[in-house]
Amino acid sequence: MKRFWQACTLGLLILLPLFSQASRQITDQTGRQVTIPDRVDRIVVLQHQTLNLLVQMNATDKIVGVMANWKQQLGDSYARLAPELNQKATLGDLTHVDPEKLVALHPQVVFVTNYAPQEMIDSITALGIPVVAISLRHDEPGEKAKMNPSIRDEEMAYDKGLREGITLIGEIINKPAEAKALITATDEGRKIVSDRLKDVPAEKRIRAYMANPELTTYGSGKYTGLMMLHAGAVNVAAATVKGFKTVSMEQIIAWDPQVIFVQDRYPSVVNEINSSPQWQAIDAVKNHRVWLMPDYAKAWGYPMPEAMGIGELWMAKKLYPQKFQDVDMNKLANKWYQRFYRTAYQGTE
Amino acid sequence: MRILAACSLKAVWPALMAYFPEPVETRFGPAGLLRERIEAGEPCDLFASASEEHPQKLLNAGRALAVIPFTTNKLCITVRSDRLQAGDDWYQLLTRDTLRIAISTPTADPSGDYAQALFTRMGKAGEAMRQRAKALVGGRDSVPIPAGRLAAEWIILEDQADLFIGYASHRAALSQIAGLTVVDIPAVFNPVARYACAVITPEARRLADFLESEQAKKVLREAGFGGK
Repeated sequence: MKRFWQACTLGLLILLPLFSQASRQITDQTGRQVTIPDRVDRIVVLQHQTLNLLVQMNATDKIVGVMANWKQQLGDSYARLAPELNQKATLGDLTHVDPEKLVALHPQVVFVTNYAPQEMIDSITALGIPVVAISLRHDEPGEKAKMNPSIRDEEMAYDKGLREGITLIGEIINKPAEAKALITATDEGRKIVSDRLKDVPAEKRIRAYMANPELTTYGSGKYTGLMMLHAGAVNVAAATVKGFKTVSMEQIIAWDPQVIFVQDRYPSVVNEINSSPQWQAIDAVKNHRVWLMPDYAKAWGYPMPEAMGIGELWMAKKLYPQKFQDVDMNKLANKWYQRFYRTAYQGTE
Repeated sequence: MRILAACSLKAVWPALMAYFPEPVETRFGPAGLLRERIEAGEPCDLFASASEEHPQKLLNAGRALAVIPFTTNKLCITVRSDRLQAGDDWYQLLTRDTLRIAISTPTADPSGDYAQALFTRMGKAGEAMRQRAKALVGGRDSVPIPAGRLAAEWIILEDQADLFIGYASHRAALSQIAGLTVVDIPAVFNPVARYACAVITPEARRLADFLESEQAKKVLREAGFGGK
């Protein structure tokens, strides 16, 4: 009799993987329907924005594989926020992945960027692994899978898109409450900025330029311009440049920005600007208004909750210090980091 | 938006949702069991049922804002090809008592209810079938169907039964599977499955409108729904 039950148990163990786990179909941010298991505990993430969101939703333990250049994309200091990432298997990047490595990790879902090549999505799908594309934008049909999309209403596209993206990721990884907390914290920060800057007239907005390495910048259609707009500035590049582009020095001189922002991940750019003769004619350089941004003020092409929630506040305070005298950025940054990264904020104000 | 939808819509759902501009999260199950989950408080904006009865119950109980019919389906017979004899038609297959008949679970799954309706339409012969037919899927305690397989395919190829009475929308897919033969049931005997959705939250009206649209009808027709 005992042997009979042993045989039954063995039979059941062999059969179990054949039977379907309960599943659901979700719409990803490129509009694809993807079938995923009800419970997701093994994730591969090939997009740094989603990686940062997973970390903030306290789901690092569900990650079984991460894009190989995550440190380059998120900055060297990111490992301090999520030291576990150093132990994860690394594979692929935004536009490539090795199918053999991927299969070996047995992921239940793979997150990719919305502009991941169709062949990449097809090759992962062919392995029977669900692929979810994240854009953090609410796009018009036909623009969803583009890196530099046409956007009619940037405010709506990024505001709605970030909410939809965070909610979707939260649903997939079974952490809806964490997703909601992230959205609420973002809204709270944005309200402080909008309440105090609503009276700044369009012509009084400060002309700002985002300096990336090798004369690259973000024009219209990217979150960067929106960040500046929210903070009471105007992106000088937005009128003539679309998306992420290289511009000429002559062009920058013609724009003559009043302030220049440099992202945390490119500190050397500040020195280059301040020490290079050709930049000296520019208003922002003459008046020593070339500012390195803190790491939470991620002026990326894609919005991040901490950029909208506290990064825009940092920028607004930098531009209009008198209106934000009572705002203690270090305290707010620390509160955010403690809550969503479970560690103290260590950057400078 | 959260959707609960009848299992029989699972295969066509991605093609349908490709034309709907909002993100949705959809879970599938037998409509009777889905209705119970909604009654028990599971969050749901729209419930797409293979029968009008379950959405109507929600409406009557004040749990839905509207019931909107959006497509139809009918039944067909799938039989293990090597059980077929020369000259067999649908009636001979169903009345040959050496063949094991499987259906889905009545009450829990409308597919099972429609099979019961078929037996009723067949009169006395149908009563004998009702006794012989075994409900092997779609119930609360049924063994789940393996991912990516159809109920008829799984039951017959695993030798749990010789024929399965199920939805005709699976006809095209089942016809492709080696070892299976699909046989139609004449319209006079074949009950019409009327699919309807329950609009549970105001946001879901947009999806209900879409399901009624010509675009949705076209996709459903191509997938074997809607009849003539």
